[in-house]
Amino acid sequence: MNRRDLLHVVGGAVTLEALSALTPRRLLALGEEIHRTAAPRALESPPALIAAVAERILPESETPGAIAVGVPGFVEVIVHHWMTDEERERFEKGCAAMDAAATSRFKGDFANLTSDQQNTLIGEWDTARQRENGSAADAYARIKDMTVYGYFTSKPVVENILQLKRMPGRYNGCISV
Amino acid sequence: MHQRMNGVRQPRLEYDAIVVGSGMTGGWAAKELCERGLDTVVLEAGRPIDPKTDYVEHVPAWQMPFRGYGDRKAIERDQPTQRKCYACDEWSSKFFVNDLDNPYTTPNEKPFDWIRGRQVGGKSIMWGRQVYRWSDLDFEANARDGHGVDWPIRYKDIAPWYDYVEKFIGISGQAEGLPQLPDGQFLPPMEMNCIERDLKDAVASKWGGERMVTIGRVAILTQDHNGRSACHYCGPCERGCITRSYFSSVNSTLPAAAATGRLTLRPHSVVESLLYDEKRRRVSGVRFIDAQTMEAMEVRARVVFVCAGALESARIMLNSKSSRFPNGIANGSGQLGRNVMDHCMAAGANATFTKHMDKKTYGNRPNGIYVPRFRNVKSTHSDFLRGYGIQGGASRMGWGRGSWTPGFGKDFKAQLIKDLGPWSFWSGGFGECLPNPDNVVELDPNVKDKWGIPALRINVAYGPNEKAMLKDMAITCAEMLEAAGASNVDPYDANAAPGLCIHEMGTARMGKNPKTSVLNSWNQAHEVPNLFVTDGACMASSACQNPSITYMALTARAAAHAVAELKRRSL
Repeated sequence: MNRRDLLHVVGGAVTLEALSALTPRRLLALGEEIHRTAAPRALESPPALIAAVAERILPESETPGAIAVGVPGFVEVIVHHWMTDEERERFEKGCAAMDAAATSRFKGDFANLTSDQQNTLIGEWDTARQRENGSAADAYARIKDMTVYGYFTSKPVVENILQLKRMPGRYNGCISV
Repeated sequence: MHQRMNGVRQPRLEYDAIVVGSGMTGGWAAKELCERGLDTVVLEAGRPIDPKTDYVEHVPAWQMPFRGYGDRKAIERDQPTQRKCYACDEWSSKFFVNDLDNPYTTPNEKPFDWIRGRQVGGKSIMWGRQVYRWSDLDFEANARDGHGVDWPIRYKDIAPWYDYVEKFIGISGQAEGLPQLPDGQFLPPMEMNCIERDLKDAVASKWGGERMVTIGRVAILTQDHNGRSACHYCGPCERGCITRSYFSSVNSTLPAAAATGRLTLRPHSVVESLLYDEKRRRVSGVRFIDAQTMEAMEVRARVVFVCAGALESARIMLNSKSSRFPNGIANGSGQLGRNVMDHCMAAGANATFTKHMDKKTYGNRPNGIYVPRFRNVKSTHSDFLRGYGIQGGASRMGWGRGSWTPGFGKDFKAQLIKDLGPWSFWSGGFGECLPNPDNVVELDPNVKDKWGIPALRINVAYGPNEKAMLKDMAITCAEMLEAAGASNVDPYDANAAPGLCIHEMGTARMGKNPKTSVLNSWNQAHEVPNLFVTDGACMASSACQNPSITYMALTARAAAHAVAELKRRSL
């Protein structure tokens, strides 16, 4: 069998051969290159409520806040493309309960309250003993979970705040913090 | 060499050897058969893998459409079984089969999770990489307690082949001199972290001489080896490895086979059955379906290695019927498809440690600690036969604790960034499953896969021995963590169905007697001398060690034997 025939039949093995011809150093360099990836989903414009709650959980300070690193858009993707219909209905019912609580306590939608007023309500939801399905505290817990995850997996936080390297190059089991 | 038929390039019709499957053992069969001079075709049911585009280990979460949550609707629809495997996530679900195309059935009361990878490389792409040798404690187990049939080999028969395989693929680990877990050809071990070292010391002081803790032995390079690069500790091996630092057939054995110029690798080739020549009493070839054209094709060879994975290999053999073998090829014993085993797991203990709060780890170590089997080694346990090993590891909780820790606002955020939180420790056992002829796979008369091949009906359940062992795992994991000073020690037994350990084996067991076993001491079918089965199907017992290194050693050994026999013209 000549080489061309081999390559034709082998298909997947073409790259195997090519890869095996590389030195460890070159392989490492190849690893540094960013892999081809799927395009992120187009983000829908998130409701003001979610952005406001996320920003109170992880607000702007000397480090960026939840809004600055795109948390509300991530939450929207999960709510609209990941949750089941049942989960989304429960979540949206809870979001409505959050706004209802804001209106009855402070006469406005949650997003339009002052930071102090927002913090008062969030403090109650954060320490709630009961989280009935579809309640404000229930939806808050879901937003908090997604906010923490979305924040700490965002590009600016991973690269600039946590400064995690994709290829650390070594493992140390017990070094000083 | 090639014929053009209807404009479609056809593979040659004859080779010296056919290997069914390109994963853990298929890659080894291909390498050994090619290097020993045989013109070999590897038939792989799945697609080709291009490491440059298919490997995604360095793709960060923010570049994934669902940030790592996974395309849940697609996965729940297409991979309801595969998704139960931790590695079947947003990055790696493409390495697992579509469950709709690849159906199987089970009795209602006997769930079984069959996790499969169909692509060049098979499951070796997303395997767990833990490698532990067997000892004679394992090879003699069936003879000792009467479950199953005696192994036709002992440790001395496989030891040189463990050496051979380990030297080629590169294993990192710590030599410990344990009789029940022989040392191998080790590259330098990975480090334990502060908490794991404490556990090691605590176990040594409380259970010294019986229990001990060592670093996991893994098929991951801790230094450059055979042209492959040392691990760079990015973490998620199951997404691929562009630096070829962990062993997979794609990273290691298939390139070696290709380098001989004798390999033909044919992806998209779904094997339906083995062809049997009644006159010569030999397997003459393989019938397969081209997955892209749905065309049935045949290819012939002097020797056939079946390496499709224990259950898949049994399915192909059961579907290979002839007048000589009406119940499946090489099945005169009636044992083909029986004695299915999978390590029992998902029992252990989790805990928290609040010491060493001024210490952390650097890098993502794709490995943990290992507690070698200690039950029924020096003493006898009253509740069960045989034993289990324990795997586990510690890590700082990090920002993930923010989801369930009370708090919000600037200080909360600063704390999640600055403080790493307590250490969490998970541990769980991997237990030996007894061979039981009633744990069986057979062809389902009513269900076929996408390619028209009968699906498997899997009828497997754990027995009282495995259940007693699971109980003990939770107790011993918890007591060892407590001894090391853990808090919040939480023993668990998840009552998991078999299958999810993905160590399924035993469907064409080796044995001394053709009346009670399918394969002889060389993985050669008693009744069809040019047919070899070298994946997990061949196992006469399961031991408790992660099995892949044993499959690989048996494969290399069988291939050397097959070529020698061919040269002596005795196949």
